[in-house]
Amino acid sequence: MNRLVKMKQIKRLFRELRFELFKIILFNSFLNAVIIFIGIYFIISFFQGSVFIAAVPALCYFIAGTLYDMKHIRLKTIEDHNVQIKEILRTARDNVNEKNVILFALFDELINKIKSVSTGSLLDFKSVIGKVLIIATLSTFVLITSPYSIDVKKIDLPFGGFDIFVGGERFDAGKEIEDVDFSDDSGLYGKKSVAILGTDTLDLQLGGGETIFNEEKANRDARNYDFPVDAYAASESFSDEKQPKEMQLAKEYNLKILGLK
Amino acid sequence: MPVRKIHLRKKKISTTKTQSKSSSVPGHLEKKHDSRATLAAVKNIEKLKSTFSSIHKEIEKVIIGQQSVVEQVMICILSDGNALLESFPGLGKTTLIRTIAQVMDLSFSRIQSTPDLMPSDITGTYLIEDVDGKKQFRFQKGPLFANLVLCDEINRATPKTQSALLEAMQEKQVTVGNQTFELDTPFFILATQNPIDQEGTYPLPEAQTDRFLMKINLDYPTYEEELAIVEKYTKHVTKGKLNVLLSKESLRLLQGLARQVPIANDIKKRAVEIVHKTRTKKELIEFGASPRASINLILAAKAKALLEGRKYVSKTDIDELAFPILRHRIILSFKAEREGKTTDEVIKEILKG
Repeated sequence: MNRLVKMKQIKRLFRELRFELFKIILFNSFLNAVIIFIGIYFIISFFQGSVFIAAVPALCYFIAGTLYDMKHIRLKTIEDHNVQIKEILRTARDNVNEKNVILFALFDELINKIKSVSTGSLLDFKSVIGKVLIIATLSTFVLITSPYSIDVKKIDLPFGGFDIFVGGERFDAGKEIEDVDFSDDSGLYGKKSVAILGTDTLDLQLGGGETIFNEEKANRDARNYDFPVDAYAASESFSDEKQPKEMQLAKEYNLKILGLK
Repeated sequence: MPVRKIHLRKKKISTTKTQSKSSSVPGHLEKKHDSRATLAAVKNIEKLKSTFSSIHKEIEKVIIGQQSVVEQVMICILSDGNALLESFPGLGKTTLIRTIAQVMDLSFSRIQSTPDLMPSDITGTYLIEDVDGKKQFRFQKGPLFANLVLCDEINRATPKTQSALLEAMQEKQVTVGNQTFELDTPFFILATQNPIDQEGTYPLPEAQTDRFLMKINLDYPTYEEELAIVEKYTKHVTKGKLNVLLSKESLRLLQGLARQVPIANDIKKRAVEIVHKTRTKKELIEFGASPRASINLILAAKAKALLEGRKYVSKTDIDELAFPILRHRIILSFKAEREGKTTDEVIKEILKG
């Protein structure tokens, strides 16, 4: 009966040891994943990238690292850190189902010696402190640079902008520059025709008074149910299509006035 | 991460006595099957180290130096194996084995091998004797019927006599005519060979040297040791009395106990790997060791662990015992011999990787 108790004790001991080892592996993988996350986030913050770009590799590393360590880190790691149970732990584990006098004596010895083994002896404190310092340093850099919202893409560079690296059309000197008719703004605002609003047709044109669209003012005006002054529906008389007739009338009028003089 | 000591819930251990079902458990070490019995066993195993060191000290009264040889002979005895000792004449081989026999209360006999030695000279023969007027045969036991047998210069005996010896080594029995006689246990043969003066000898073939657990090299003593030997053996005529420290029964039980010493799987694999490499390293070794070498290596390592009072086999046990276990089982290649390498050097290379 005592032998059974002893064997159960030993089996429970090994379960506890494996659990402790698992916690340490998880902790180390977590620290490494945090370093990766903050490092990548620090770099992509200069490109206004999404936080998910940093989170995904960190999560993948966390899972892969944990699985790898669980496969490769064994009881021998505990033995290497605790000389008093060197070779005893592995021997007891490999013969846990055997029954003989010497083996039970070995189990007794192991149970006595394992009391002096602590989880702290398995942690490499220097490594942990180093990682924590790295995390703190990277976090500080992120905190310092984040208020400035630096976007490297928007920096004017002599070679034509950052689009060369992040994509966009390349400047090709060999390509002919198309002639642009500056009076024709259909390339910018779309065709002069017709914005369909319900069953009515409207001609829209942007007021020439302001060069920059004031979104706040437009929102304020919209809230006050005032039609924003920057965008208004023009009557037919203001339509660009009608403009030549108006000009013709004005021209004729001016000529008549000149004739009077 | 908080530091956490590993604790086991203490349960009340039952003190009921149970009968032992295992026949391999030594009787005097397993008196009761409860925690007190296991504790007693632990104490006895740890006490073994002091017992064996006492045996060493007792042997040192007669044999000066040769600590490693004494240890290897003890390992052979505990492993229930036999040893082949290669040494020059006059190094105290007979004295050594006789001393061990006295300290362990074992019977001792010596066989001096010569080319005219017959198998019956060592196994025994039938004699006709007159009992109450009737003539009858009586078997007269030969020198093999002892616990410790020293067979000097075994390479001088004829192959026929060698085979009779080998049967005793392997089977622990002798066959005379059509009758088989069991030998008393423990039974240990220490066969010696002289590395010089090989003329007119019958070298043991490899198949037969493989049956020896170890090949022990006995070297000349150091200057200081020789001075102590001279001091001891030139002063007094009478020899000191030796104390019996281990009985035959205890030795038999210890032989059973030695096999129970547990070994980790990776250390077991290392032992097999070492022997396996002797067969694959063709550039250095022509013929490698057999699986018997793997068995003997692990058995010897277990005996060594017990001798040192440990309850487990260590990697260093395997590495240290690889030399005496393998040196007589491998045949070097021509390339290795041309480079002047010895078997020990080749074994060292195998152990390195």
